[in-house]
Amino acid sequence: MKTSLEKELPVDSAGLLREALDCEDGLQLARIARRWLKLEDGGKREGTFKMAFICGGSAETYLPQLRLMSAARGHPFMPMIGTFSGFSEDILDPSSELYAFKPDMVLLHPTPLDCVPPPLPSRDQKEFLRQAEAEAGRFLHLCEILHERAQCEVILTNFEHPWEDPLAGLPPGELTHSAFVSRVNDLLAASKPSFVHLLDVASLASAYGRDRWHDSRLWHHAKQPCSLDGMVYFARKFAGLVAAIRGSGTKCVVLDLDNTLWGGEAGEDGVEGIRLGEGSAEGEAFKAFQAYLLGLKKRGILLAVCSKNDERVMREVFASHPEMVLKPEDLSCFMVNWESKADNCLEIARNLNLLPQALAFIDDNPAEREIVRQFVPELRVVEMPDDPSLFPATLERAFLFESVGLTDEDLKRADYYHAENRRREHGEKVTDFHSYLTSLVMVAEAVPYQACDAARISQLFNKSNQFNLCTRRYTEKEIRDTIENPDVLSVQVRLADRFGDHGLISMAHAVPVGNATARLENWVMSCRVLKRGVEQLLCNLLVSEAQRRGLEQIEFDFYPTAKNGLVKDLYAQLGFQKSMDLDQGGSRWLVKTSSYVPFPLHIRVNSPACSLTSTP
Amino acid sequence: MLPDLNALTPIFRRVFDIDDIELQPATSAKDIPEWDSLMHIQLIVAVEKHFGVRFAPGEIDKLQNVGEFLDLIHRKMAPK
Repeated sequence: MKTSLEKELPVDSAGLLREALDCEDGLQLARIARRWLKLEDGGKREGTFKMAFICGGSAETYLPQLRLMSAARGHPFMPMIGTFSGFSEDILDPSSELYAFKPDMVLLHPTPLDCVPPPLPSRDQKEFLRQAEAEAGRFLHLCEILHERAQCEVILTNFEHPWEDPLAGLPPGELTHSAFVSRVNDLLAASKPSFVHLLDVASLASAYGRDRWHDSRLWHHAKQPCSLDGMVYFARKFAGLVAAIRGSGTKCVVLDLDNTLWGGEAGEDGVEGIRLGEGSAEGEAFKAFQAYLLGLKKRGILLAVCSKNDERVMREVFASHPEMVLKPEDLSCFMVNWESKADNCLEIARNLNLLPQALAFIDDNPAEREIVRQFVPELRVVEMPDDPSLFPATLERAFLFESVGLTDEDLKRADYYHAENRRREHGEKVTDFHSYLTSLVMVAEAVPYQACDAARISQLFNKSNQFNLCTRRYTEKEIRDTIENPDVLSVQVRLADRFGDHGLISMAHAVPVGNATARLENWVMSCRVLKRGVEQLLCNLLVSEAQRRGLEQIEFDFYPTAKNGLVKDLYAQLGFQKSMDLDQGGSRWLVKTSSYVPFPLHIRVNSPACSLTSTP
Repeated sequence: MLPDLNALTPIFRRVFDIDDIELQPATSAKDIPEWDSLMHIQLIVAVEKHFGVRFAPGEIDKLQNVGEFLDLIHRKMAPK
């Protein structure tokens, strides 16, 4: 056979999921999905959350691929398909099956046919804009009702440009179907609330090529909204966005050097002998790839180097090759040695306080890719082509860096890590840990949850996996409700030191249980500031606030997950008393407010503990 | 040489992911339980890709069995 169907498929679930990630062929992906769902007992065994689909086309034609790809990215879900094109029907009716299903997330995927322009052609600009506002408002209103009733996150695809536009011959500036869609998409992007995540299918379709993207015959035949091959990219982008919403996006790109960042082998050919930059097409392609990576770094994706080489020579390339776009300070970790790359990747993850699944591995050598794939299966190994001019597009089409929105922290992240490296070097000079902490000159600001930080608080609760005591997730609205409830004890901590500002890095809240007790709801902290004393600071603050309110004790709960092993002994280390076992392997630990001795700290706190009282 | 049942069989086996499918001219959706409207689309796309042909919506709708499928492929591949 001439198609990729010739390729034999793995027979195990993990193998199929891995195969799905790099599959480029729509038929093949559908086939992998079918085999995987069969293995997974129709998917009933898998699924960590519930996802409902309301689609303007036939969801059945692509749901298997979406389920497969989301599972391949670590987020298998239980699906439910709502009424065909039933955006209003399902969302407005409180007794619809949609609400009975209690979804954690909903995909609303209208087609261009669901975006209704005023009668066209027309020259009535005012009516055109009014109708665009009405259409954008209609969908956002539905999202709001849905969020209000189901407390779920909403993924809304924006609108593809019309598959056919009879007015396409008119010049730009005229009121066409296409201009209408652009206007509606702009309005959606400008006015969507934070719980609505736009999946930019308009850009996706145009990047792919509209005429290949949409197959009108499949639409007429089966209401399949896009071609089978186009669906591969839709599924990837969808899964990338789901991962971002659930806080598990790719945070770091691990890069090989020779023939990945430049052509040739610096160790053999010498620094001047490598092919990089102007002068050859290949050299320009490598330089363009570096520029692409630098762009990722500026948007908050960390870059790390993992190379089997002589470290001295490699540093020399960074220091002295005039065409290098990436500079040493752009790299958060520089791992050049002769050890196994699988071990080095794990070491990089440890160094950066990231889970291996937050890393993507880029290497021109298929053998190295295979080793990393086998020994660190949770790490994302990107299948790279031989041609370096395709590197940026390949990375882009893997949809690893989908995001729910750029934050101030994203813009500063690489600087944090750069400062962290300086901190570490500094720490190596100071032998005693206490004097090290003192020398950092740490200053914290600790206050109850602030409404202006609600989005960031929700984000940190949702994306923290390691330092997360109860792994409860909260929408922004739930955080706002918490802020408005005067009975809740909450603390958020910002930290800065002589090397830089860490921003908001830890938060916890507890709710009253009976008259004398508060119980921890959840507590998260950024791993960047582990063992600096923020853990102790937060305890001090929570307990003193409990004392002030006349509470006798705080119950600290812990629930183990696959990812929070880091904090399984935290309460014991803090000297808390274990009081009982809980369901799901959890445990409850007691702190009596009367006998509590505050931990000594190396952090100066700007806000006194009494400010923890919510201001009315 | 125009394709025959032997050329079509591996495509069916791959698309349905069933290794022991045996095709006869009379084989129809009734004989392969998995052959629903969704799979029909994938089958069409796979056959089109393989033989470098393209079917019209009306032709897809009318197909009753494997024999008709082969006839259609032959018509599309015939020199004009």
